[in-house]
Amino acid sequence: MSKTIQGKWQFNKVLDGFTFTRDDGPGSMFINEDVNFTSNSNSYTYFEICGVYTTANTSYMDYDSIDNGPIYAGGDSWLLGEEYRTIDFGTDPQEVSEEFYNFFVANARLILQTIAEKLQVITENEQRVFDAGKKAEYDAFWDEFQAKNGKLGARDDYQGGFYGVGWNDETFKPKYDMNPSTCASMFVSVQITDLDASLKQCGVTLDTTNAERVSKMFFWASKLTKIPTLNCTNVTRGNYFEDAFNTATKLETIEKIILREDGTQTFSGAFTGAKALKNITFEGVIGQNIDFKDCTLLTHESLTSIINALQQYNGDGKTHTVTLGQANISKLSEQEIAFVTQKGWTISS
Amino acid sequence: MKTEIIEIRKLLASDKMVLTNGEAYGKEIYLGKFDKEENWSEITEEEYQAKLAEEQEEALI
Repeated sequence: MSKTIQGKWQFNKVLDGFTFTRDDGPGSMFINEDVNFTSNSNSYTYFEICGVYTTANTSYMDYDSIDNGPIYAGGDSWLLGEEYRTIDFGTDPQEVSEEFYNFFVANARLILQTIAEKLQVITENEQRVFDAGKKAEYDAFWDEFQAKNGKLGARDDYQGGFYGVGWNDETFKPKYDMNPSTCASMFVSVQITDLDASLKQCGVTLDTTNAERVSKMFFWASKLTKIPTLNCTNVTRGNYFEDAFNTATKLETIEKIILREDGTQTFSGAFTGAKALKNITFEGVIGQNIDFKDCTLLTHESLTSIINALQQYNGDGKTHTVTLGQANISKLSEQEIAFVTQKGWTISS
Repeated sequence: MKTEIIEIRKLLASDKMVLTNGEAYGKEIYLGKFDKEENWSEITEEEYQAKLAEEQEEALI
């Protein structure tokens, strides 16, 4: 089987074990030996590569008629013992053996080609360069963005970290696990659709266990559909859950919210405008007024989770209200309504 | 055996009115075990909508 080869090839390394024949008789020596052919300017030198012979006038750069094969030797660079040597096959494709072709592919690189080939290589390289550039840019950005005091990935203050519509499924590609001390306004107005999927795709986690603030965490995240489990047992500051999911209008699922057991956390406006919310699970205790009236699509399972999480009150003189909205109240049985009121909670539509 | 009757007390707002205890709002209220009817009063729909708008405006700040 034959192949074609053309253009100017430059060897990647000094070649050992190269056989050549000179006009004063066949010989064999290593091409990387210091051989000064220029002193033999009127003679021809025969190179043998994989059984193909070439000739080269050692006086000139480019080269010469070929007796036994379509190969031109790049005279000077070849002969002066430089580290990288070139051979020029010309611009027309030359038929060579597969062994010969493979030899060049393995040991040399094409440095001068036809315009069409150049364009092809440029196209291929462009994507590689672009990808490499993107990766370098990605690393540089996220290394800086998620660093703390120069320590990579150590950032813990994510207050307003991803604030704005510029954050979407394409741009939100964190490199390091996130373990924030504050998540307040962390994802305000983001255009991310599935936070859970985005994090998994990036191979990182968002662990809110240490977060003291989550107010406005997903405020106006109007494309967000799913949020993974949020461990909020350390949320003790910054108005607690105030407006945390406010106007997250496409949010369907909050995998789980883990609350403190002391019932102190407040929920002012937390679910206002979260009108697509269907699935939510609570762990821990809801001890303060909470409002789901805009979440008309809540499943019965979600409602069950909510009412089970309501703190048991035994007459502390305060009114505790869970606002469910008419649509959700109608999903509850009388027994379930009685279960809530007996816990000391008033249900509001 | 002891039988306990659990009473569900329900307040319904008048037409075009909304019930409130100053913190929560609704047209239909199921009073909690320790809650009292007198804790709730009626406001107009307009007042209720204005209150909601005010709260949402505060959230935007």
